Amino acid sequence: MTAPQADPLAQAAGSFYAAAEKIYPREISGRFARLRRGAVLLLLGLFYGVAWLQWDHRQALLFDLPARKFHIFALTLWPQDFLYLALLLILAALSLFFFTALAGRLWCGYACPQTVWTELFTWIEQWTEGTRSKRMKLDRGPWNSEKLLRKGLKQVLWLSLALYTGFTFVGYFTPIRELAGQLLTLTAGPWALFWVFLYSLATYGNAGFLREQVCKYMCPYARFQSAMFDRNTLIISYDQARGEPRGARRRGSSAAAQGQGDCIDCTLCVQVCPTGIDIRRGLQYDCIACGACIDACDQVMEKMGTPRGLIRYTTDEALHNRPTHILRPRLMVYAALLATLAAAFTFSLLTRVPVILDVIRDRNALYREVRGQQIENTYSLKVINLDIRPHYYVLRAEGVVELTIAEPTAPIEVPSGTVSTVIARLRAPAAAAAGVHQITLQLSALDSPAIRVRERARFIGPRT
Amino acid sequence: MFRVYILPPTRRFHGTDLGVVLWPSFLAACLASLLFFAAVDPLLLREAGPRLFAHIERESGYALGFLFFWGVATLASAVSVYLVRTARGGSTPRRSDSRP
Repeated sequence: MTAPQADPLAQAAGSFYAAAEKIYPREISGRFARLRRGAVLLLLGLFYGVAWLQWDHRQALLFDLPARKFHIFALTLWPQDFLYLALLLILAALSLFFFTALAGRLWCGYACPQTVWTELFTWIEQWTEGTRSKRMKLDRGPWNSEKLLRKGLKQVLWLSLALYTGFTFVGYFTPIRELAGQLLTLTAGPWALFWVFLYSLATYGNAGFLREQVCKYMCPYARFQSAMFDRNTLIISYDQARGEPRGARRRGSSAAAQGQGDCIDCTLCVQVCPTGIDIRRGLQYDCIACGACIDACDQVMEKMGTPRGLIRYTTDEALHNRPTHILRPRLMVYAALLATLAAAFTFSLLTRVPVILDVIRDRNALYREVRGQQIENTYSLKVINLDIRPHYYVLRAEGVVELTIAEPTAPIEVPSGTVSTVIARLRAPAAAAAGVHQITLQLSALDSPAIRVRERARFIGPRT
Repeated sequence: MFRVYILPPTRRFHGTDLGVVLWPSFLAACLASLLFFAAVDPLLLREAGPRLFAHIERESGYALGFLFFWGVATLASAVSVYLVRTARGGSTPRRSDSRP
């Protein structure tokens, strides 16, 4: 293989892959900061809190993998209910499309675990190391006792939080109260420990160090979200027509009189940005739509005595002085799909019968002649009890005149969440049984008649 | 001049490649585990698997299954990155920070 001469341009540039520069997001207050803080507190509260809720003497929300059943408050789902999980995932994806088309990257700015935990870790950093300028100074400075103390405290808090997060996460898959006891008495199993540490490590690495790099280099959604954008999607945008040409000026002085735009080039919007971009360069896929730049710019504009909104939530249409259409075909298609699937999901969940009956005809013999001019057919019944309680089920059969059940004679007992296979023998008088008959088998729980399934089968008699 | 090399100097691997390889394969492994274990109980390994798994617990079954999926997906991701990075003229550098 002949190698091409090394690209002179690349040689001059050294490497295209410059090491990522550390970003020190500046602390910010304002409307969007409050909104984000609210979202973070709510979501983290739910995450850390719900794991401890109890329902009917068991954990309210538990994806019990060792027992292969999911407890979701009053509902218990088994592997046979996989359809619901699939539907739920599709619903989640569609909601993401819908909200992205409507209002841009709401998910990234407020709800993504990456954002939420990064926010929490940043709070700790600000509390231990101080403001942006203090943090930068601390990083530049020598390792004195203050730096050691501040950095040490931050690491201790970060690590404890990461470990607790890992523990809580695993607590959704194995009962959290037992897990807590096992961890405290050092009797937890190796796999539980492995997952706790893996998730802790992921939290610590993602929220403490990688941060915006996850959004920039690792997140697929950041790359394809633009497919859901159109000119009517709400985006965070700098009003170029109003802001340019940017330049410094005195407070209260008129920008127009000096031939300038409203932007005073204070770069606060860049300093507060958690991903370190300059929103004035236009929409970029690195923008997680957190709104920090809006808050910063609004405060500056207020101080300068100019109207807010130089950076604002707006649409491409509005920026070009055209009307914005919120109700548009794309959004309505997403909404219709979402509503249909949500309705189907709710309906099937509400009408879910927690028992499944499978009827398999005996493969060895079509029929058997038994005493008393009777024809007998044999079936293998698989009864799956998807309820959280054990049940006794009664079998009924109809479809042939004088069809009787020779076996099972007693109700079929099936413990919760298990499959029982029973042999069923059905008999009909030979006179009525000739030919092939469609029959119906019905299974109903003794203690609650609402738990009932019907299944069709064939009853075969001698040819006439 | 003839030179044989594995990686052209301009397309060297970068630290973020690790994330680019591990993260999508992690997601793929999650999806694969979800679908696979919804249909298959890991305890089946006791009967159907090699004798090594004769006493396997569900927890270990899930974990090994997940790690297996992650490993295979990582391999695929890594090969993809390798092919993209080492293609002659085919690798575009990351959209750099020098935006207009």
